[in-house]
Amino acid sequence: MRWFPIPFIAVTLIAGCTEFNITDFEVVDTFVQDPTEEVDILVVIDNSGSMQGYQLLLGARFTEFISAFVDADVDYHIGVTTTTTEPVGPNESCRQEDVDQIPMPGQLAQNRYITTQSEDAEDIFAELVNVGTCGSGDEKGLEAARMALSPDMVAGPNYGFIRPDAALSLIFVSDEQDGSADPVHDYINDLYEVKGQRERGVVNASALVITDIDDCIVQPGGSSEGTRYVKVANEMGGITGNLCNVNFVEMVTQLSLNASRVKDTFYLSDWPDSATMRVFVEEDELLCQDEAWTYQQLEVDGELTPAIVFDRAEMPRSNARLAVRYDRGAGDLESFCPPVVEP
Amino acid sequence: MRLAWVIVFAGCSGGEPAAVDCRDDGDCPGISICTDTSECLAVDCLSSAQCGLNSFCDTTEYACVEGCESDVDCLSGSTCDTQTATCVETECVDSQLDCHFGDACNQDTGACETMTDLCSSCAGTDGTTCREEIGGECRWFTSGHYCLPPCSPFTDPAKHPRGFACMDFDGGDGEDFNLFGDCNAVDAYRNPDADTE
Repeated sequence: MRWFPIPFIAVTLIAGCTEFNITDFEVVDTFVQDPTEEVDILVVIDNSGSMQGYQLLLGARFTEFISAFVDADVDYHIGVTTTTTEPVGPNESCRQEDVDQIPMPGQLAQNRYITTQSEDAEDIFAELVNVGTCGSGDEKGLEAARMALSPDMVAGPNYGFIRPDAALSLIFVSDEQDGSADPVHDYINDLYEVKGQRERGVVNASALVITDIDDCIVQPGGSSEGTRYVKVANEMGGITGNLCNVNFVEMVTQLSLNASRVKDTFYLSDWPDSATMRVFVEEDELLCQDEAWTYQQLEVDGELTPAIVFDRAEMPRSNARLAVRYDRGAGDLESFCPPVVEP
Repeated sequence: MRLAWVIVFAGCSGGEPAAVDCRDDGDCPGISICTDTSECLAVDCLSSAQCGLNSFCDTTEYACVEGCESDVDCLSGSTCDTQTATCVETECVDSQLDCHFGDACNQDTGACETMTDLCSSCAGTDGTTCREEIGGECRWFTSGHYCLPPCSPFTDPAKHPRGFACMDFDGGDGEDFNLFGDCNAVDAYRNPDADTE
């Protein structure tokens, strides 16, 4: 996801006046770490026959899943629902007792959700994510999300999960294309509407689906590319990962960052003279010499773009105002972070 | 991107500098800007990301105003007409993304169209011909027999009806391809009040 600086004011100082420097820098890029103190996360997991391995891999990564929330002190609710939107019956692979474990369409798994205060949250997460494999083979993740977040469900069976002032993140996990009936844009708009479209960043969505079936480590039988989920993630400020060929630790960590809205990367408006760069969070200057942040050239839409990337332990907290001050230059990496010269 | 140049003539006469709230926007907390008088001023928005959809941040006034200045300001399924600063509905490109289940994107008109030939009911056994005029194939689904129209495997999948793929399910001889998908779902979508078996 790309974060651009808000419009900046460049201040020119009339030379020869040293006692009252407004600033010594040509450019000031300012950012606000998104003011998200509460996030509700709905994980929509495919519970069809081919998903067991993926459920186990995800369920084991709770620590990474909440890492960004812990780092930035973001209060979270985590609920899980499935891609099954119609009741299913037992079959030769699934007994009635297995089918009975499937949450009712639109309801959260086990009728519960994890909060910041939950004890044994790691175990609960693994249980919730392990939604089984007896669900419908006609996976409808987008419809399931819309059902779970419908006013009737939010005020009824899922009461308490969605908080009025919290941001909302959705994460779709499936190895098949979404089979929901409506055009993707209808679902996107309905999901934004859950929060009344008051601010577009309040709702986002990510997709851990098959993005390139030819890139799978093992060719999965009965799987298909989840292009509908990818479109949702692309339009709703999320991230995508190729389910059948992904480093789960890395992916879940990125999902955590994205869902928490805590950004570690900020793109600059201009190429800097990297030796002049200084970074301030609120009143405090963070030093590159302390490895609090680094200057990098990152590829965005196929083009190298100057950016600063914070160390995970130094990421600005919610609402924090961030200023990057620098002179324009060639943007070279070699000049970045010169040694501090003692006076 | 707005670029405001502030030229400052101040403080050259010696003594203590005048007290200021801010030197630039970076000194101001939350959603606020540093004014020409070096004071932080709270505003509605600094960027369009802080506005709802179908609106954008007018950075001359730092206020969310109705309309758009780029596609990301619009609801999904519409784009920004920058001449009028209004969001306009987009045409379909890919049935699988843009159309209702069973409908197909006509890329010439940009509209999703109902394929009446798709999933009409038929009488017969699996594999028999139905709708002679189109040469469809009758197949059993859980709620009845449905007629699957023929198709070309060389057609762009984006043009196939939503939820359907062009498949050769008669032994893979590469000769008889039909649009295969969930006719139960199409029937349910087209006839939401009808009883199913």
